[in-house]
Amino acid sequence: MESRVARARDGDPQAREDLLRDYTPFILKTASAAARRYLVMGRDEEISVALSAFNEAISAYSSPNPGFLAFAATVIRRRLIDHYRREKRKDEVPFSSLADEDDPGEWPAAVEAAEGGVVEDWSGVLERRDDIERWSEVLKEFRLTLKDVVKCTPKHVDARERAIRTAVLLARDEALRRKFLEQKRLPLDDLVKALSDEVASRKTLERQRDYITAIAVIMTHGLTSLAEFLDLG
Amino acid sequence: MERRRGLIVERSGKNVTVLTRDGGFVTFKSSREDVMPGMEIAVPSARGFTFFTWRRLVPVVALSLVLAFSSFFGYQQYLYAQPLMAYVTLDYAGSVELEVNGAGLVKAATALDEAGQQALSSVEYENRPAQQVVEALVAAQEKTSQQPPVGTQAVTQEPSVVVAVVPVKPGPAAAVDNLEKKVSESAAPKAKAQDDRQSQVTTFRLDMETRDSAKELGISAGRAAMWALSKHEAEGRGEQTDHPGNETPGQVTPSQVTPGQVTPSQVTPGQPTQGNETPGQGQGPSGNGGKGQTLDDVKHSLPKVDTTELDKQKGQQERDKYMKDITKDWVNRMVEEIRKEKDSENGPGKDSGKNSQASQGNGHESSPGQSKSGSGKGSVSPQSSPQQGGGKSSPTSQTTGSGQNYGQQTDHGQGQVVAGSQGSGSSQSPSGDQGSGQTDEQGDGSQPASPPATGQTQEGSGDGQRSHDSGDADGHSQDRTQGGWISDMLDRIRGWR
Repeated sequence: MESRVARARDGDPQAREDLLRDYTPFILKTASAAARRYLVMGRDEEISVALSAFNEAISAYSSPNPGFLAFAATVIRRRLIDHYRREKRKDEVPFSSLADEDDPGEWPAAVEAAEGGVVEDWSGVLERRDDIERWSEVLKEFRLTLKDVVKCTPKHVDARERAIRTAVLLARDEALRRKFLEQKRLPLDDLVKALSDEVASRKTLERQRDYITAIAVIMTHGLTSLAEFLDLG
Repeated sequence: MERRRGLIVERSGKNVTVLTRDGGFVTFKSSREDVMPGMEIAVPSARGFTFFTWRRLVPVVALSLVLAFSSFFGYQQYLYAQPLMAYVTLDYAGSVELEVNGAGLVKAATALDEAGQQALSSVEYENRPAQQVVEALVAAQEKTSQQPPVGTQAVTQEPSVVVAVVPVKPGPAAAVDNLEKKVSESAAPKAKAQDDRQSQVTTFRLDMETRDSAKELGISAGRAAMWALSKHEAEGRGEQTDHPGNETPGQVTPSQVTPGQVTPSQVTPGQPTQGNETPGQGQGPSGNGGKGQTLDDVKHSLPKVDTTELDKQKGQQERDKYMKDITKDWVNRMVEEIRKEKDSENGPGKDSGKNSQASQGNGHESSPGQSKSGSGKGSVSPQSSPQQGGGKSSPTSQTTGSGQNYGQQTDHGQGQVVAGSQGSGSSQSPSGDQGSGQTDEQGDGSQPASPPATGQTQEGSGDGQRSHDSGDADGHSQDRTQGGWISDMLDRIRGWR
């Protein structure tokens, strides 16, 4: 993230454009929170003000602390305030509702979106986003895509729980884990033997192969945010 | 309503894939632009929406279509399989009988004559609505006949279409009423025939017994009803009619001779006489089809009947009952007459020179062996022997169509008989030669010796011949008149010998 910002600041137009595109949701979310209403791109002028503020943050960012996103959020809020002052829309955005507007170092732990009740922790969002990207890359090594995983996900909760338990077992067993990482595929025979105390047929494991592999990758490749989300222990 | 929350793992356009906390994946559309992978989002509880997915709907839709098609075809088959409800006969140029089932569809069709067969062969009738088939048959017969159909009346009169509906089961039935109405409306010929004539449709409701009886005669129930009605009308007007079937078409009793009518004496020698009868009608000089019709006439012509008065006088049910009764009566009498004819042919009626001659002129059938229609259809021909005019023993050949004999017999009280044609072939009797010499005698009213002619059978098979039955009660007066003449002739013959 920081390197991308540095490249963009140093004059790489493509890097700047990629940052703007990739973080458009972040910009929208921040602007919506600041405006206390749901903003729609192409309709609300605040969006263009926010984009402009993000671009300005790229150019102005130098300090690693706070992080770039926190810095960008502050810049966006301030520019929106300036905008409202100019437009003299006092009824839309009461100043008192803007928190920490004068403290660029403060970053609200959580910003509630104007619509949908979504509570976002941006640091957590970015971490999970990074893990998701990593997850997709590793699955490619196993000749899988997220779409394949979605397709073969068991429909029933019980079946999914059994599959997750199988993946956890594989990840915790040294021999199975090694074989799994080396062969880049599920060691079905060994799993069947390892699961002898459970009711699990080879046919079932074959049917759920892709899903078990995806969960096992989360556990074996340190994708902790996803593991925490799924409570894989 | 609590909503599940999930982690956005993928976003492609409006499609968002979310990982739920229980390890499941949900994909849905979201128009929100402020969401990105890594963010948590509420998952819409779209069970109600996702239930009806294409994967589930396609088999349901396919099954529905299959059911709809099979129902449609199954219903069609159900209609086709309905039992027989009624017979519908159509008499126009030809005669056709249709078998109609409970759904009003034609299951089978039978042509009762050649013209009917010709019309039927050009029409598709199986499993078609009865009214459509009737309409098509009438149109086919209109198209094919350049001349007025055989069944038409005199040129100045109107061609008639006769429709009869014969329910299989007796009793009132709305379906049968509906059928009758539809076919009656469909039977009216669309195009005006030549000479700017318009057609008249006569409809009857008859019963199975009538149909079966008519079948014995080889005619349709409607045709039988038409002739029966014509007969009764004639009787009602007081016209003299012999027993139906006995009368020779065109035969004229002495009292029936009207001025201007051709008689043998008026015939120019060498020229055939012209009968007064109207071709195809089988009517007597009175122009009424009520008398004088032969079975051949019946089969190939339809009399003109005005049912207006009948309809006025009687209600529908009464009308139907009346028609059934008179038709049955007429058919029975026709059948009886034919039977008698056959019996007399086989019996000793062949030597009845006297008998045959005695019966001459009174409208009775010619003696066996004398007159036969060319087609042998039971036409009656008058005596063949009597010559007409000069020497030619060919009486008027009034044969029409299949050789019906319309020869008139005029009895001037002089024993003269104008012989009608004997159907196909010559109507000459060998006595024709005799006739030549006897022509002169015709002026006297004498006739050539008929006995030779008696034995000289003209052509025609004996089928349907009717023997001159001198025993016919209606012709007694005529018998006596002619009997005397016959006796004279016999005496002369004996004298010659």
